[in-house]
Amino acid sequence: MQNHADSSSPASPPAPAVHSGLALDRRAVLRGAGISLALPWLSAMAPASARRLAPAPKRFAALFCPNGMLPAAWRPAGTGRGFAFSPTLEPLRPHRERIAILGNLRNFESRRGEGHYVKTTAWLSGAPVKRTGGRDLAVGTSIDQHLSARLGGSTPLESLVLGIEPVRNRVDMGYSTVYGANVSWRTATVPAAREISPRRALERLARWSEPAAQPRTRLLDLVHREGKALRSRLGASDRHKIDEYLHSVGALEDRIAAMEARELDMAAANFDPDSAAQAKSYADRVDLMLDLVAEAFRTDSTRFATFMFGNAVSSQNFSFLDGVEGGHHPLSHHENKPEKLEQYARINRWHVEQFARLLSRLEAIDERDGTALDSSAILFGSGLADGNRHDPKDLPIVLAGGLFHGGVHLRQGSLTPLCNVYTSIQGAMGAGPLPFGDANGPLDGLLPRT
Amino acid sequence: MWPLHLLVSSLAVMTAQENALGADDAITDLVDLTELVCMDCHRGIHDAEGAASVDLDAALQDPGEHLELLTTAFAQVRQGFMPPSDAPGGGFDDEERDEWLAGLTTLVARKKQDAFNPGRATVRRMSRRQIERSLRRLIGIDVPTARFLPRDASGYGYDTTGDTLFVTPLSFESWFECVDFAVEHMKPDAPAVAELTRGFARSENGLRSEAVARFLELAFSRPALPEEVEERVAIGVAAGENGAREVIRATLLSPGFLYRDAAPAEDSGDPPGGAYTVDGHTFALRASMFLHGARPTREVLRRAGDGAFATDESRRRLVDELLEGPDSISLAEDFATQWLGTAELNDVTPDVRRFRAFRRPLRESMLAESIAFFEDLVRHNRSALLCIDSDHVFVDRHLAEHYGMEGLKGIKRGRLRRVERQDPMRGGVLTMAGVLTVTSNPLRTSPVKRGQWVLERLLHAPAPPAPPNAGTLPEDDTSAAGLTLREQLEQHRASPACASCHDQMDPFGLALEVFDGIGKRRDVDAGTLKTTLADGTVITGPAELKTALLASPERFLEALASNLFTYATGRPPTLVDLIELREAIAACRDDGFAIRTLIRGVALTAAMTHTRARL
Repeated sequence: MQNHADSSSPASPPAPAVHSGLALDRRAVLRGAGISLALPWLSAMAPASARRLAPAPKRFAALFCPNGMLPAAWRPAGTGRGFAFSPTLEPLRPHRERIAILGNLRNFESRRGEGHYVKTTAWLSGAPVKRTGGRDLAVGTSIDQHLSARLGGSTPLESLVLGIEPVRNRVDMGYSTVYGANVSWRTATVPAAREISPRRALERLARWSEPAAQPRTRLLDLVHREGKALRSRLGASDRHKIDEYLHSVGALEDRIAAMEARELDMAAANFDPDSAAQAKSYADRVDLMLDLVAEAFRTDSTRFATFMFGNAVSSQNFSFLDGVEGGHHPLSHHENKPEKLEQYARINRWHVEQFARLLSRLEAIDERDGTALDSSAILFGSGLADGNRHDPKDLPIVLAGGLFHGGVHLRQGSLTPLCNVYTSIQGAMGAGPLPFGDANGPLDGLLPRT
Repeated sequence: MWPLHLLVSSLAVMTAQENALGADDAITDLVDLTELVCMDCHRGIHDAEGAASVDLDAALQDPGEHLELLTTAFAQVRQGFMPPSDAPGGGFDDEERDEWLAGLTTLVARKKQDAFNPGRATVRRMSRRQIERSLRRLIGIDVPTARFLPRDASGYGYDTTGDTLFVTPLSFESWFECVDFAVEHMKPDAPAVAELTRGFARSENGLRSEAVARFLELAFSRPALPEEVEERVAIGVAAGENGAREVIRATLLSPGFLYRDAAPAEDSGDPPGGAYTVDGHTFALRASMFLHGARPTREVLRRAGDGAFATDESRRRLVDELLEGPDSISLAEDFATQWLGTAELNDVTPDVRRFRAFRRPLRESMLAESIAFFEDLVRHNRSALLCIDSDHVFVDRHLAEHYGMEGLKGIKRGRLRRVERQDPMRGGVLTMAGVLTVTSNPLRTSPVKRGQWVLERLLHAPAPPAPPNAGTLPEDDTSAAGLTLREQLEQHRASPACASCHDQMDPFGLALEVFDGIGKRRDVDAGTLKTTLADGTVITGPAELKTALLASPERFLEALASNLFTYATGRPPTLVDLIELREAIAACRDDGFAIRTLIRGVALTAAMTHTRARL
């Protein structure tokens, strides 16, 4: 084990390959402000045996952008291997051979309802969304949670579900805003809990890496039984709420068992939890969250992650970008006015830049037969096309990573279910019977690498 | 069974017109009018893509099964959103509208006599804030739950809705850690903790069991089951000198603590599917959660154990006691901030270049103002109508400056004081800086959002969603195509599809244009503020808007009562509940609009005092 506490002090050489140039820049800034951010704390979570022996595990991550992408600036010219990068996708140029740009996909079930919520919450499931202000939320299990349920279990965390914006406290257009704040659904009715506080995300992992965390299996066993007793006393319509509780207690029991089985050469994580609180600006927090994804993959703490740049209808103020003044959602309603089109496209491009940086970070992680990017499928995109029209057809989607052959712009001949992409991913990872959601098969032209 | 006296008293407060018509005639009118005007669109036809539209036919035939739909229909017809003017016969005229509403009320009230579903709210976990307050009562410390637990989502606008209070692996793991923190820092001299510790200091098993049972009753708000006690005694004994601590840990992690209303129902002998009065413990729990945002105190539980709260009178007394106590400030902290939307002040991002004054201290003062205002109403049992307009405001130094107040003495930073308003446009909730801020966009005010807020929060008439491709307004105050924001709104209202809602919303918002995106006064010509309400009243500015709202106080009381109901029960009121709430509204009105009378009425509705027998 390297000494992570030292790796960020000025006297020590920089930490190894994982730190891409970009990431180093940010840390240098943080250090300049007198903050020490030792990131590789996550390695404390990884069983040593897994690190030494196993072949690179297959991972999946999905990065969700709210409010769509301006089609004119997104769509690359030409298809197949000969495509030319569009202005919005330009930042992906260094990764050309590792990306497949996917065109003419639709999420059929989200064609109605309203402009944003259904198109957000069903982005990773393709499921119909029940319109409700709270009672009986219903979507469908998302692809990340589906994969995690089938393939997880050998890592300390089932999945990493990250976001930036809190759930707004209201009903909008008849839809609970829970919908707009979640792309990951553990079941059709329960969203996977998101972490939006970098501090809590860091602290959580650090706490669980400490050998001092006392196993309290007897207590958990007791409350688990009491949960079952309560469940039997309740009416059928309330039982699913207690099922949430029972599942959660069970997950914690599993976690503790996994911690006890851990090898003893694990050092406790060593970092300053307050450092996360210093990432105050939106851009800093996005950067930190994407760092978390890369580090979680590097240390094999989890193999499934999602991240939301913003909730549905996000009005995140993007005035920090040159030439942009205003909030994301209002600008996405560009009304074809040139000055708004330009600002909308700049915001879109910024999101693609962050995606490209994540790819760079994964590419910098050396593994047995390549890099972490080689063994990953990283999805990027939005649940609607043109924000001005709330259009759920021809969605902007890019799939990166080495699980599939890249270097292509695959434009489907006719509108094709988005779930075909998930079916391809599910097939490549070997997770259960196909197809996924409303797919009619794997995606034409998307070829798994074997 | 459903208590008949409620039905009778609800009918008693119906309007004279309804009584005169007679119930059968009223229902006949309803069916005829619906057939004539509504059925062209609402006979369960399917749209082009196969989705069923609103099926009024089925709903009128079986109102019990379609109560939520009928509740929405009632609100939309009453407000004039439906039927549109291009419906057959030009929609409803005023008389037809009243007849239709009276008929629907009669139909629903009549169906209530049959085994009508009294309503069900999903089983609820405590919210983060309720957990925090309950821990304070139980183990004597303020546990910073926000450090550990993820923020709660909300359903129907409130974080007390069971459907959106999830327990997930992440949140339970966080709770596990939070419990670690709680037992490490709990006060050994907190009465419940001290009692348990004393119990474990004795070697006699019977005494230990007694101590554990008493602690569990406090934590679960119900008598403990024998097996719950025995298991914890065993855990405590095995833990030696840490016995009490481990018992507390095992108790806080249990679903008995995390979830509310989880009392094991004794076989009541009631027929399945019916409703029966809840026991004293359960009522104490519900009332305490509603009015104190915490589990009941030892004292209240002791009385529940002695058989109190079995009668209407004893329940009413408990509610009054809870309202009188200082802990009812939770109504202001939890309920009012969500009702008014000021809880969102931490999430909004007004543009700092345009609104330089919007810094953290001002933001905090805005939130504090909404809490202090509502707390004052409850504390002194003032008129609920002060929410619409009051001659006083709550300010600290930041707000006094923000409101342009002068010559105030002894006003400090961060300490709010009740003072006479200086600007006749201020006063009441509508012109609070916090409310005006959360109903604005980052770069400009939003008359539409503000109008929608008035409809939703003050008039209990939420507007239906805008149709797709409805168009948007520019993001800042710059004019598009030479039109002002106001002119663009007028253009938008020219379309009939948009007019039925925007005619209602926009005037409210336009009257508030004298306040900028963070609720500060700005210079506008009087002409800008002059606007015509949907009923034809011409008003200029906020003061006249408030006068117009005060013309129908029952509508405001209904809005407040409905919101209190949703917060208290975890579900929005249906038409059945609204009929029942008329009683509370009338009582409040007859009591000089005293706010506690309204809150008490909500606390004593059937949804609070009854539960469905298990199926």
